[in-house]
Amino acid sequence: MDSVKTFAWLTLLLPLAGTLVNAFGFKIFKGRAPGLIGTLFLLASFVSAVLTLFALQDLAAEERHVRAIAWDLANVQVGDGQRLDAQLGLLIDPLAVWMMLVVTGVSTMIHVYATAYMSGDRGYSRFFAYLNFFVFSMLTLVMGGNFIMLIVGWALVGAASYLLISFWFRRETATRAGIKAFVINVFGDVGLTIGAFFIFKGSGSLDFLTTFERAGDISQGDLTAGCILLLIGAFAKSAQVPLHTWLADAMEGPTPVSALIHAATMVTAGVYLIARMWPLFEEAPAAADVGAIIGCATLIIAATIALTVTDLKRVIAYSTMSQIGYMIMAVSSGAYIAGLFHLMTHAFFKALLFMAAGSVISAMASVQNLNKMGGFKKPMPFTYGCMVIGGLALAGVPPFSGFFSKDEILAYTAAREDWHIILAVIGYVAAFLTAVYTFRMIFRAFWGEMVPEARELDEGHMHHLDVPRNPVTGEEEDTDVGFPGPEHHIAEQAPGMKIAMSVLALGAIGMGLLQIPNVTHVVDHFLEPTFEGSRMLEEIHPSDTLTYGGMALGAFLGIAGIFVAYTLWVKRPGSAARIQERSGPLYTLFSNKWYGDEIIDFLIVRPGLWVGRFAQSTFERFVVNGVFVGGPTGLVRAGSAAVRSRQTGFLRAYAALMLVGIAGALLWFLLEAS
Amino acid sequence: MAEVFFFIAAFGALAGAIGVVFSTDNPFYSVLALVGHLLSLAGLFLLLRAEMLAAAQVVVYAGAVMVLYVFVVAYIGGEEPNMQPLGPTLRPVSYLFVGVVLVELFIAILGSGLTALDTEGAEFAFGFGTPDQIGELLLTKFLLAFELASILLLLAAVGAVVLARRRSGVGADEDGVVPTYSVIDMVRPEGTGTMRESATGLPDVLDAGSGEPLQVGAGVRQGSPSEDEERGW
Amino acid sequence: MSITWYLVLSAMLFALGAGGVLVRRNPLVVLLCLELMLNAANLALIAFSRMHGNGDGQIFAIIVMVVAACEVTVGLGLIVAMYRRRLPVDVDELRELHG
Repeated sequence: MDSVKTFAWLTLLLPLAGTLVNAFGFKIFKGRAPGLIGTLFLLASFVSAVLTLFALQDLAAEERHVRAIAWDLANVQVGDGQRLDAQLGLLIDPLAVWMMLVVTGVSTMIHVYATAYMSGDRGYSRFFAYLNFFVFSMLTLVMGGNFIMLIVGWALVGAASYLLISFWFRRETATRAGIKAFVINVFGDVGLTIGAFFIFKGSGSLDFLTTFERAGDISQGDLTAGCILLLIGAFAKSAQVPLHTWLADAMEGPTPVSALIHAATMVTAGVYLIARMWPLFEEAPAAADVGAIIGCATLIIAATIALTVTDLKRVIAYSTMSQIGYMIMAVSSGAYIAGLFHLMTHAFFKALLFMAAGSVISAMASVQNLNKMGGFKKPMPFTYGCMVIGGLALAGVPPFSGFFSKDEILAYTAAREDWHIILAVIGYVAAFLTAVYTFRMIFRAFWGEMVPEARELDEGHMHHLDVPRNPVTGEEEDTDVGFPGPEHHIAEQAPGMKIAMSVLALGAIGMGLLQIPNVTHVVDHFLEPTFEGSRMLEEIHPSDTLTYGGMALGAFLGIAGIFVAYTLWVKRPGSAARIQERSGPLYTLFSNKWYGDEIIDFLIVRPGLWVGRFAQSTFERFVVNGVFVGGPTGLVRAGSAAVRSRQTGFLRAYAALMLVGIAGALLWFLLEAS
Repeated sequence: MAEVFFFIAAFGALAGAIGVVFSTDNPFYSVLALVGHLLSLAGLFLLLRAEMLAAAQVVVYAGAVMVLYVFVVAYIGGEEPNMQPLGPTLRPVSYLFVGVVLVELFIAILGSGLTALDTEGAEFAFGFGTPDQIGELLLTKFLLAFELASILLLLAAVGAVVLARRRSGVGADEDGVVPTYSVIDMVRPEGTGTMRESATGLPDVLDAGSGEPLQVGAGVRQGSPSEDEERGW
Repeated sequence: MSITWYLVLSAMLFALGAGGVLVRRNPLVVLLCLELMLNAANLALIAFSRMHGNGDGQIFAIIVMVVAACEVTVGLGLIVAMYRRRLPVDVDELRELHG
């Protein structure tokens, strides 16, 4: 028990130490030292997480819920049965350890990658300080043992995301994207906090384990309201419809940021939340259904958008959105272990995809437009290989890991046998689309005619722009602090990047072995203690027919998708353009991202601006300045003007006033005496 | 017999008062009228058996204070034509107020239920109003008042000297301003806007560029010491 | 004579003095009228002292005389200072101390 706590605290605090060392020592460490320091701290954190795992597995299965409390912040009785027990405490159970391993493991690889990728940037130390801080926040979120820690971690993750998205802060597009992400995240934070209040009101405790024990006692109204509000927080953080618009813009951040935050860790916080709160969601099926429906809607909408987007990183971003939709649908429908398994495999192959994309973008000297790419297969074989591995895993082709995890989700969803079957069907359709758009991206970027940048690379040197430009707006930039550095690194030339990508590629290939249906049950057995007592876990078991049939269908759809992509973009180039012409309005809908940004602008941004302007021009001017400020000051001014007018300097007037006063006093005495 | 004396004295007092208020030619006439008024009042004091006070009235008031007045009137000189009484704005108002006060006092005096007012006074011991009794009271029962009065006299004497002294001599500037320093000046920061600063100007570092002292409030200073020296005393 | 007469006389003198303060423009005459008021008060004090039969009122009257003397001293000093500075010796003209 104690070793679990020790290692858990070490895992949490080592990234924080890394942040502080990098932040305060930025003047001391030169060259790549900040990167190495950040990576080392994180590697130590990962080792500590592994040791936590071993220590936890030493305990008996019923005991694998370890509360590690550092400090009691408050412990007051606030109502009958309600105790405000705010503690600085962690809850270490299999779910927490699972998330810890994913977060620290993938983060370590991304740190190794970023050590090479970001070198030459003037903000190198700042980057690694922020990156370590992000890992610390994410660990707070997943390891937190009560609502307070969860909310604190949630908010800190949002802040870290903002700092990292607008890392190149002199770029206007980047800062705007950061603000957009932050505002939408805060909206989710509010939902999360109010949801926590509702649940606290019903359960009387902030601690997770206590709340879960009392889950049956909470009134249905409170519970449903609380869970739906929690879902709002989850949707904002995990970029589900309708709070998804920030994820695409968040691609303004450097590629390691996209890999870490927007593929592997931060966006999975929503999935973690629903999985953690499973006792509450099982008692409030309405909220769980909302989650499942939104997850399903997101996965299909994002897949359709990804078909049409032309920015390389944005394709991968929408793909993330879609896959997270799968995970949310899974954990909302009761397929907890399937969803979490997919979380892990997705972390690996998505991070890998982002890393490969970063390599390609470097070769293109920061240009991200797919239309301008082509033929990189020959000059960048390693990158190409990694991209293909990631793409195959994403498309769900056996025997890669994505195949096993995604099919498990769909099998469990279909096994619920009510209207969830529709969700499963939509999931399969989206799986087909996933394969199509993934390989569209790969074929467009790597096959076909070599573009000039690829030719230059083939000849041996990387293309460099004379004047660095913002890839989206084309504005001129320099390479000083706040803008990307002058160097571009591709995987073939940077050993750090190669190592990171190789490890992730191995994971993408092999992780599926952990949970082959009916063969290996590593993940099942590991995560079971967390979900003990879950109705869903006990009741839902896809039949063998469903499992194997689903696997076959999934494999078929994945390969079919690759084939379709090959036909459209390699064998008969130009057929994509013809299809686009024929499906005009549908294409417009998809390529405008289902008008998500426009809808939010219309519904929220404009009224908000109108209210603000109204407040400033009318309310502020007339009510606040006029009445509240002007009123008393006007009164005082009038009063003092009246008094001042008596001060004429005229001696006789003063004497007269004095006499009036005396007469008045005399009068009063007379009246008193009578 | 006492009534006759009372009415003569009362008449004299009133005549003197009216003379003070209403004589407009020369303030000298007012002073002389007041002297007569004071002497009448001394008579009234005698009628009220306050011998010591009557004597003090004549000697101190009519003798010293009025002589002081005469000196000042002589120094300042005659009346100028625009010293008319009853300036335009206050004429009816002041009559009104005075009338109000008078009426109230009458009501107070005549309408009060004090029967003692209708008598000639209470029984008094022998020695009432004599210097003996006054002295004894001053030094026993009213010692504090006595001491304070003497301090007041000291203050008045010093004040009078300070007020009327010539300002030429040590430390005066050209426009007759003598900067007076106190302890607070050592701790007060510069440029806080005191009257002394407005008269002598801010120190150079704080000035907004010009090196001349600010001229706020310098308009009151009419007349310079050099002219006084010419005139003599 | 009963005490009432003296008090009535004192009231009239006080009113006259107050009126004089209000209507005259020469500061010297204003001070003289002030003296009138003080003397009226003295008269009232001495009358009351006679009424009660003890000397307290007379002591008060002596102190009033002292105060009057001091006030005359300072006031005349002011007038002399005004005259020396060539200011118009007129209470209506001197009104710089205003708000």
